[in-house]
Amino acid sequence: MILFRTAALLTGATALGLIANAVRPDGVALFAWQASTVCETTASAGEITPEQAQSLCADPGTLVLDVRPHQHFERGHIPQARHLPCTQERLEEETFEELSNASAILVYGQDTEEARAVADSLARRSLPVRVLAGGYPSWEAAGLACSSGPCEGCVGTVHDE
Amino acid sequence: MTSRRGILLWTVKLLLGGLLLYAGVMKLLHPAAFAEEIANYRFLPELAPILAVVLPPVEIALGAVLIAARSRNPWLPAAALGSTLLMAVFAVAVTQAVLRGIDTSCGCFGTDSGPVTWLTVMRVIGLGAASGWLVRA
Repeated sequence: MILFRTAALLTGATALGLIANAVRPDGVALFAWQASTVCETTASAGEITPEQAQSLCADPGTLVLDVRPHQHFERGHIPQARHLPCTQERLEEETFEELSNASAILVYGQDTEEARAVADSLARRSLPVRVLAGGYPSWEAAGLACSSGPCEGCVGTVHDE
Repeated sequence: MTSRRGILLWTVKLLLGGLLLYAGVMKLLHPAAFAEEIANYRFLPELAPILAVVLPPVEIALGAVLIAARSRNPWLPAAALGSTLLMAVFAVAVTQAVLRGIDTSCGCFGTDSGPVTWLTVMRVIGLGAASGWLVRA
């Protein structure tokens, strides 16, 4: 009987909450809601230099994201970087899980601005994001380690030059 | 109801009920802000809007029953069980946030509730234990 009463309390309150939300003008849009303003103060990802990025990369908890077109990625990228162009239609659940668990996320593009769209959207989810200032060219110019080769997992992305 | 146990029961149920009622009302004032607080936990963020709508009235209902029901009222253990379940869910949410090093506001009493720390975890577990005691009391 106690379970029945508990269920009745929870169900009744839930129903009341949903009804109240439907009629109040500042109610939450249940299906279209997006955490677009999460942590406004950190919504813009900070920039770091290639040298700072290199020490960040030494941490195994850091996830490196390359947002450039896959042709650029194949020509050269930061070792261990994941290809995640901003035109990718949606984040795979596995990728989102990885992002959520990363201690730091380094995002880079061909220049600083190219990385911004992806980096800021991740920062709005209050993920610990940093942008590589100057993009991949600044990494190369600093003489830091690079890799090249086919972009695994690029099939299905729609980003072209 | 003059026994020591009776006094303890009334104290616990009034404190727990008052706390739930206050927390529910504070969250109800700004549902969109509360949804964002929930999303910040990065724990099933897709449920943030529905939880933001449902949790405040659940807390208010449980708090009101805990305060109003007399010690022999059958709704008292029912509300206490609901509160225990609620605290168990909160405990999982705050513990995973602390373990993952997520620096976010707890949202326990609406916006500006202070950061989630191990103290928050202990507080939630303590409230859960008090609720569980009320179920059997």
